[in-house]
Amino acid sequence: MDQMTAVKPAADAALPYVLLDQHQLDLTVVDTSQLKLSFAPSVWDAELFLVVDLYSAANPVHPAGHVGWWKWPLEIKGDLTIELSRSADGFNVTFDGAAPDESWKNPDFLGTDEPVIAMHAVLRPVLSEAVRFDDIVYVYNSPAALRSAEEHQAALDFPTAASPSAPWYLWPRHSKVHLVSMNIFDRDAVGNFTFSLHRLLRSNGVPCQLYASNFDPLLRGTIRHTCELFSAAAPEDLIFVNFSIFDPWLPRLVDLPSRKILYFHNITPPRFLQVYDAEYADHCADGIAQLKHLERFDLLMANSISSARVLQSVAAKNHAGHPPGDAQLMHVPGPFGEASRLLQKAVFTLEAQSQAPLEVATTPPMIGIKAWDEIAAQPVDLPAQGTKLLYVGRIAPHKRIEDLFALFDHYHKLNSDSSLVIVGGSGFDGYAGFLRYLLNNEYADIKQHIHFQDGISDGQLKTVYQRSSALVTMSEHEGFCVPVVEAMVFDKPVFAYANEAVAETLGRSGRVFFSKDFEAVAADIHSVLTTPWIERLILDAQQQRLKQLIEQASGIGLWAALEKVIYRARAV
Amino acid sequence: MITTTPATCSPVAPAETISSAQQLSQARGMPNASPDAPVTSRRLNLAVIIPELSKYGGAERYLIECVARWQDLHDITIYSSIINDDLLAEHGISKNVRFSRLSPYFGGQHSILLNTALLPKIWEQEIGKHDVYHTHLWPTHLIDLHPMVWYPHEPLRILHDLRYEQPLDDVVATRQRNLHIYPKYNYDHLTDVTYEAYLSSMDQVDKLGKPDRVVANSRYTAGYLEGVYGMPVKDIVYPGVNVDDFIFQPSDENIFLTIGQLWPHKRVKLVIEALKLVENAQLYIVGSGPEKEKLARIAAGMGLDNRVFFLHGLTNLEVKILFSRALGVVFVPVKEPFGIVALEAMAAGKPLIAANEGGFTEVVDESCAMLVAPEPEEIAERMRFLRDNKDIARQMGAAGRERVQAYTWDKAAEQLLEIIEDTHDTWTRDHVRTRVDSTVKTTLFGAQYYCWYGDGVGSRHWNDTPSSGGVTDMPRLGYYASSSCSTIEAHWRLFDQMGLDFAVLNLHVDRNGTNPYEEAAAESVFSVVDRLSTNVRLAIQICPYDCTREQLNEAIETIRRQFAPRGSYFHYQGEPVLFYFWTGVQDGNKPWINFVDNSTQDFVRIATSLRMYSSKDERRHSFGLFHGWSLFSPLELSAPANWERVWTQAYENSSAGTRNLKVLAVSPGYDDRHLRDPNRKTNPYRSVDRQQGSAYRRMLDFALGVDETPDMVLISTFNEYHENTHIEPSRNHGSLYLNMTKEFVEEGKRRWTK
Repeated sequence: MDQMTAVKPAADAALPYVLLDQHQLDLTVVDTSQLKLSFAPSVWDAELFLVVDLYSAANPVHPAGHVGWWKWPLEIKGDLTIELSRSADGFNVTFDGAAPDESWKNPDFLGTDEPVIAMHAVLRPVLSEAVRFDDIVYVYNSPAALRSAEEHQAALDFPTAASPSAPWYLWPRHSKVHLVSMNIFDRDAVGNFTFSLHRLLRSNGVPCQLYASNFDPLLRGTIRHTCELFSAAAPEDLIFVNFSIFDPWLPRLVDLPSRKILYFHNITPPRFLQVYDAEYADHCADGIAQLKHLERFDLLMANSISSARVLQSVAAKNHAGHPPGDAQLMHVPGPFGEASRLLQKAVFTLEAQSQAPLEVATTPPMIGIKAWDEIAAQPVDLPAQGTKLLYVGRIAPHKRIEDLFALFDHYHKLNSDSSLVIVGGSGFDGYAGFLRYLLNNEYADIKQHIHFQDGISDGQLKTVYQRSSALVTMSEHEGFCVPVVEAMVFDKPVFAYANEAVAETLGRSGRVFFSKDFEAVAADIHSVLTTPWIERLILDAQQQRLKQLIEQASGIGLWAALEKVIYRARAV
Repeated sequence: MITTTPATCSPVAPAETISSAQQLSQARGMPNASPDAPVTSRRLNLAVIIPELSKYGGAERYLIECVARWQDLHDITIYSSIINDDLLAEHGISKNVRFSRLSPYFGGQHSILLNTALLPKIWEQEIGKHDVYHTHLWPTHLIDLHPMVWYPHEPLRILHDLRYEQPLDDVVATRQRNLHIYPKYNYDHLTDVTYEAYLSSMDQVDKLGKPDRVVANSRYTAGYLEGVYGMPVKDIVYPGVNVDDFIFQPSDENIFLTIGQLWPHKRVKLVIEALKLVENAQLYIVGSGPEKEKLARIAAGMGLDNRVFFLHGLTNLEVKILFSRALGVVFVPVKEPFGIVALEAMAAGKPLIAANEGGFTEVVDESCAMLVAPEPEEIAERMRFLRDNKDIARQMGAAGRERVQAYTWDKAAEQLLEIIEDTHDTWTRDHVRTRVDSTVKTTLFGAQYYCWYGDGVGSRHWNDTPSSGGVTDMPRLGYYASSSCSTIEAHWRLFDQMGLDFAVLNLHVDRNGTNPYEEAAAESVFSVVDRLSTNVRLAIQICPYDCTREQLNEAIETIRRQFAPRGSYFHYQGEPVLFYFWTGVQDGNKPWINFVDNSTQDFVRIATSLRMYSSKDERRHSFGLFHGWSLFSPLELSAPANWERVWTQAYENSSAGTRNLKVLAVSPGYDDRHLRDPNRKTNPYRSVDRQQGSAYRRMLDFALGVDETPDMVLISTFNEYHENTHIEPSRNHGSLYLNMTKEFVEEGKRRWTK
């Protein structure tokens, strides 16, 4: 079976899932390992079959890294034990001791020499064969790989660094925090924040568990699949949901008896993404639709005032969007019936308009500004030009990298001793292709002055910041903007398109522009970078703003939110 | 007799001139015309008509791409019920192209019949007079305007090849049939029982259209049209594509693209079913339409909701990015008349998997396309082939990009324009009596004409209101209706009898906009005069009162669109004449005057002024707006003792007009004392006794005695009864003024003939 990690059932449907009794399978000593599967009742309501799929963890693609698949019909209700065995012929899978219904083994790739194998447990409907559920455990062939994973998890589970803040109240003994996110990955804004919050809580002795649908299986155990939450969450617990995209488990999650906080990281408007990754755009659109569940949370939080406004706007629409139908109105017979009907509707409209905006607490998506002093600068290839304009962030359509090209095209005419350095990875192949096309055709003249850096370490990023002249962003949608804060830390001027959240992060420092008049912006950058006193004024303002951000990012706002939900009434 | 220059063009281009289509090819550097060849100044007044111009579908694209290339060669007016200004601006349609909205589609019960039989006739009335009409889509061929070149794109397919393409499950469930008429977005619903009755009625009406030439978008469509309409369709102009607009780069992604509106006959369902059979591939469907929800449901039911995506509302750039990402383009509609998507796939350098039927099959070959039976497995097999053979996909794409160079919009626009020009020339030669050039050899005589009268005393303007509607005399014809054919014919006999050259129809514009009665009556006058064997022409005098700029603009547009193009409109030295009743209220109002100047650039503008004008100061008051000046009411400006002095002054001040036109105004008398409008009370000269013709004689003698020959003489008025300035035979005056005028005109023409 082809590998597919995306699960997108109809919203709010009762999702089938399966619980796995182990976080990893150890084949470092023996050649056989067992995994017990417990199926949710919803599995038996649908005609599904189970597929066990094995891939190389390092190269999980078909067919090069595909070891094989084993199919099992789910005809008899009950738990199932699958046994994975390794031999000279490769891997084999049995189901309660029986051979699979169907199977396929890749004759060109046995996988037995791979240090780690990814084992998928996939549920598919008999009719459509679409993926309805997919969970992964790693199978370790190599002791070194297993040891590395265990060390990595231990570092997260038992943080040793000092926390930037502590609660001013005693954490209730039996309350646990379940930190949930659709995706948790390192080097991702939501993932970074989730790990930071996990570290803040754990280092202060607050019991805390991470949950996600998509995460690095290397961390399985430290992170559990979200479906495990349904049997783990107790009424006295607190569920903290990081929300940035459609999460199929959200409708089920809001029904849980625990208290709940939603932290909104904002959602990229799908219009930016649809031609480059329609599937992702659909997830964004579906995520926005899921904001209808807002009122099921005890507290709403957002990473910026800009994001908070999105929630308030959705809440206002949710409320105003359902005017009473005629059947719901009091019927007044006689000549004043129509007048009465109109009056009742007018009253509804006035009431809807007079609703106070939804209360949303805002706190930056950072807990402690990264301690760059403790990170040693590492060498990195950088262009030789004297002026380096820097962009840090994802190579994503809404970041408008093409506008950076256009801006730099003008800037380079003013300052030929300049380069544009773009640091960030791209998950959008189509967008990357479009940018390549632009570079090879419309910007062929300046192509050699535009440098891309991906996958660099924090130490290398430090070097990049130190040697850059200014940070530039053309992004048209942000929830917050961490690189802006980092540029402040490194005392580099920020030139930013006045996207609401970016301007908010800058807080009347840096230099924002409200229209993309590339020629004028380029001239302004050139003017600032060649006029020391103006640059200093901008940097001084940025330093003032940085002090405020450091204070806001101490975690105090998060402790206050947790206190509010744990110790006060659910109603906010 | 008056002679006029045709408003637009000579009937047939002289042999030594070259056509605009040839100019197009010259502009493109094509070798078929020598750069030294004389370029004709022939500009056609071309109407381009399409039911809706809102989205960027195949037909709309065709129109826009052609107009963008023709706009500097001809005077173009686009008529449509919906006009997307942004779309036109985005594609470089300049402001020189005029737009005019047509009535929208009917909705509700029987709307399909109304849209078939009635709507084209309404459009016919709304469309102005043009040299040639170029219509797109169905049912614009039912507009009976000529010469017409119809580019149908497709016949009404629901009557023919799509007649039985209705999904029967929907029909059974809803007991109704869905009819689709492009470019309407939504369905028309008919009960199953009446379906055939409607189609039969539409079929009969459909055959009534008689365009002068039909141009097909493919040989396939030509054959189809010949079968439907029983007439030969010899002209074929393929659509084009702008190859350079596409992002040409091979794709490594397993993405297939299909583009089209989501109607059943586009068979997008087949593509979805095919995709199911192609592992590890995605399908991007660009387009919208009533079938979208159903198709999305089908895709979800097949477990393809993370492999099939519906997109619409994309910018052109986004569509081109999608093309660049695609491994291949899939296009399997039912007998597509042409299918521009095929050309676009080639331009983007993408292999095409397409149904083996339709017009586009004439422009592709096996080097760039795989034509298959419209079956999922057939389609899927080719999709898998491309997925697994990306090198071949790239080769096919490159071959398509090479091949498509032969199909450009430049070429399409040139070929189509050649047909339009040829149709115009042929039709004009066969149907239009050559009009005599109006190069002025003599003084032209005209009279102010009012067509605001209703039928009978007490009706409109016949003693209807004491303030402004009172009359003290009665025409010999009785209290006539201005819109009546017999009135108009009788008046024109009188005009002919007097030897007048033109009549000036007054059109008032106030806070309610253009006076609808006058506008309708003027249409009647033009229609009747167009048919009469007369040389008396018609001009409009616009009379703005408390109107807004928008209302005035609308009135001017009406004149330009509805009246000025008529064969009987009065032209002076080749340009249509617009008279403007100038009260002086707007003196010094530069924004207003600039606005009028901009909106009447194509007219000779003559002010008929209530106030005296000055050759020295007029630029300060009216900023050179008018080419000529005359008095409107020459008896009202002074006491009789000063008349000759005032008239002389007015005549000498003719140089106030920027073309120094000499326009004399003469009037038989004036008396509005019976009108109770308080504004009139302040006029010290509201009663000027006719003295049994003596006053008029004095004016005529003055006119005949002027030193410099007048360009025009304007009699104020033929039939303004409220102010008793009429010369029309009446109960009080008999034919006295008619006869005096006749003699005056005869003498003037004798004396002033150059």
